[in-house]
Amino acid sequence: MDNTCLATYAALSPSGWRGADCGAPGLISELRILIILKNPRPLGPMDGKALALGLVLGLLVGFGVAYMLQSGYRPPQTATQTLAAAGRQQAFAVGAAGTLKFAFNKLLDVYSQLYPSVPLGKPLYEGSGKLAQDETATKQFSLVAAADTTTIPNVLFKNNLTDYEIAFGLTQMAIMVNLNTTAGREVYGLWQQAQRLQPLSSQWNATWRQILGIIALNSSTTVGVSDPFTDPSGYQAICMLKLAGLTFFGNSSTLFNAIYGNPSKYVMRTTEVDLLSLMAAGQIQFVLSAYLSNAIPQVEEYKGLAYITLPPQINLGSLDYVPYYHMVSVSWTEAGATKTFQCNPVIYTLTVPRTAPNPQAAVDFALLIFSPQGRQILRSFGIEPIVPGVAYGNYSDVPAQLKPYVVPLSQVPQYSPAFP
Amino acid sequence: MDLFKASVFSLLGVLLLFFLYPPLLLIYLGWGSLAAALSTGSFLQSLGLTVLISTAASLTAVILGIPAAYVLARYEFKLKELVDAAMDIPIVVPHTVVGLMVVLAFVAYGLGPSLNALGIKIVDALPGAVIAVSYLSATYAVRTVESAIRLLDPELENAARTLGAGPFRAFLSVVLPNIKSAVINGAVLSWARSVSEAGALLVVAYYIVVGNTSIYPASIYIYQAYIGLGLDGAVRFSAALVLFVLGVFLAYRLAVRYVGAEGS
Repeated sequence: MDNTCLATYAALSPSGWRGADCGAPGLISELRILIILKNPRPLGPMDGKALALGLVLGLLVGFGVAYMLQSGYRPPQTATQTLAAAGRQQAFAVGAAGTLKFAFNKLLDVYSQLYPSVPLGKPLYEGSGKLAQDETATKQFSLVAAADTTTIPNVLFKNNLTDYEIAFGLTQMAIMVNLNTTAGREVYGLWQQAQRLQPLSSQWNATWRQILGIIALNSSTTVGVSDPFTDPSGYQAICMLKLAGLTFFGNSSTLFNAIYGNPSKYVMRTTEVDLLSLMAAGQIQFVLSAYLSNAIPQVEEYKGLAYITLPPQINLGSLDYVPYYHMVSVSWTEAGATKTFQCNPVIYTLTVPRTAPNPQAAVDFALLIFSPQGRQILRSFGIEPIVPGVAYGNYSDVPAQLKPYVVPLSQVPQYSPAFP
Repeated sequence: MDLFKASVFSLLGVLLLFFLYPPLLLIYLGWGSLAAALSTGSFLQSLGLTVLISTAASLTAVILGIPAAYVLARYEFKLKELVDAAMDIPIVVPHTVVGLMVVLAFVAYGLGPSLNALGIKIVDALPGAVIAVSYLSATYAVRTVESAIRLLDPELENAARTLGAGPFRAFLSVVLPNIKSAVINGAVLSWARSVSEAGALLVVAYYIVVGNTSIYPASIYIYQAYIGLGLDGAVRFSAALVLFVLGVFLAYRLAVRYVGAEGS
């Protein structure tokens, strides 16, 4: 390359390459490529028309597709196609609180043996709040099961997707303990001692104060909690802490303030399941937002993990203590809004939404839950069956096949305080 | 007009509709409540935190990405293909897995104990958030800058070297000015990628503890609003975030045009 050419080449602006014939074929080719890359041919009048036509066609296609999707468009079917389709069933899709995963998977195994011809959709387990919002947006579930009595009324009733929920099981709060940590082992040891003591004795009370002190008042320990705004177990953990403060320290704020008043004392995630990986990484010693229904299978799954059960006064697992649970409540502000939660027993409820695909399959699954075999499965995962089930909302909309196993709330007034 | 042109322009129309319809609908639905979103203190904090994390990640991506891009574009060496493929790992790994990897590498194992001993917090702290989003966004900067360097004739540098410039000076005075648009482009792509990150942050930094306050990254804030308040509640914050990001992109376009005009 000669000097003139080099100078021309070096002077090329990065934002506007211009051609330069330097008598070097290779370089010229490269430059032409660069020129093409940097300065694509401007649109001519015909291209403008083509773009406009393309946009119009694209808009038409897009609106056509959107219209067909929204109006449930079905292409014309022949008689043979219609007959063949009549023999097919829609998939049975369960959406349930994450803590029901293990129990429901077992129930679904039994269900698929009882009803082999029913196609099973993949069940979705996630935080009850997200589940209800997902159902509102997608209307994909045949049956929805939540981990408290307020999520279905607050979200699905409001969006006219159902007007009843059936309470079918009761579980209790537990605390997950990381046995790979000194504090975890200490708490677990104290809990074993407490199991051998007379409940409500002074020694029993002192042992529980010691346990709760290590968990909440000791500055060297960190606890995991789920987000009260997104998951019922988040606010239920606060209920448990406030009740524990009230029961063992005479003040519902003592333990609550010690944890939630100090951001470095806790780690929060959307659901308590998300906290287990952080527990394995040694970031937290205790998970407060745990249910017995989840703790039992998770202890089998994760090495070095154990759970401790809690006294009925604080574990939200006893219908006898509902008035006591109501002595505390939770207020939580997030995303510019404040929510207030009443502290209630941890009750699992279900509903079959109006838009449910294959609602008969959902009713059959609910019948399995109320069967002796279903109840046994629930118990094996730490869920005490509520028999007969209790319907909150419009009892007349409860499917007829379920009514023999379900009573309206008005018939069991002692359960009323546990519902919104 | 020929059939080919009609077909490709039609598909372009469909793609434009696909790209534009959802954000325009979101902005339309959220327009009435934008003022409410922008007067929510916690949302503004969350937006500020997101800008901070994304800018730090973008700077990291550019500072580390330019030399990496230069090496990949200019040198041949053993295992280059392996190094080249490694640059794409962040794109192919699911983001929640990236979050778990950061926890494993910087908390539980590897550097974890050393960082802990130095008092450097990773989980729910700014360093953890920046590491996670930098990991996910740096590839965009590397690839953008690498393409620009490949298009730049090495003879330019050679000419500078023959005129007496050292390799650093040749890089700074010949290469860098010629790829500045690509660098800005890479930085903005990395920044935008970081703003939109949620999966890894759900694991590593659900919120950042600042003093006695927990501030949530904007993506997580909106996720919480969706779950806790429903679709309607989340729309106003989402519309505000989209408008903010679009504003930054518009400013970027103007900046690139200005830089281009300055350079010519």
